[in-house]
Amino acid sequence: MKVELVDISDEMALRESDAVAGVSPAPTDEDLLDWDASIERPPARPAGIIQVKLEYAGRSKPIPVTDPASE
Amino acid sequence: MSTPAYPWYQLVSGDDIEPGDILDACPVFLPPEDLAGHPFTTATFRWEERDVIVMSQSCDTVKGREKISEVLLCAVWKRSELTEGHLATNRGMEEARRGNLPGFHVLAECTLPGFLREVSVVDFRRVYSLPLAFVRKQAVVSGNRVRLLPPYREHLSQAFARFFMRVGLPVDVPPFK
Repeated sequence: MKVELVDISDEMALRESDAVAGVSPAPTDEDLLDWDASIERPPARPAGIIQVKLEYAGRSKPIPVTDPASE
Repeated sequence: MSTPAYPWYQLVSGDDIEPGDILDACPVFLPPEDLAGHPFTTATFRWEERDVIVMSQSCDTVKGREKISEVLLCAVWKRSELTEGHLATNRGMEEARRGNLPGFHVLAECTLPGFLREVSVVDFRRVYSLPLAFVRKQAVVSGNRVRLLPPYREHLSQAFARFFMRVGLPVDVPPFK
């Protein structure tokens, strides 16, 4: 079995200083979160096309806001 | 088998819409891109079937006191549907479960009799809105449906908010080494 020796004295010193300071050791992974992960091709589901007749209903209006104190 | 103390789901029916309601096989409609800027009177829309989960707040959908006209929905994928990419692996699903993939949220399996659902994944990047009246009707015609219960639905809302409010810095503080 091949054993590789690695100098971890700096890391140990850092951990000891963290312990003295009362902080948790930092996670080893630099970036735990992958904000960009996405499903590029969604699973196939039933799909189709429909012909629609568009009726212009005018510019939409905001929903009236009631005074919360009156409720 | 004993009932879990904090069940994830309950069965509901009717047109009362709440966050966490899962509507299976709900159509979503995609207008053609050449519709933009043209006053067409007819057009061809593509529709696609999706399992979706309601994200709109319950206070906005109270019957008779609606504060929205469209309901916000996110796509829900069954785990078995995710056959490619990182989420097709146990490692990817585990990362999603731990919250390390903020674009997704993992929902537990549902063991309600007659409504078994495998583990599923909410996809925050696939967001739809449909008219509230349409969603109410869709809920009625689909019969019984599964509703995510507190605190799991608040956990879902928090995860969505966390993803949506993300901010990427053009220049970050250099790492401390």
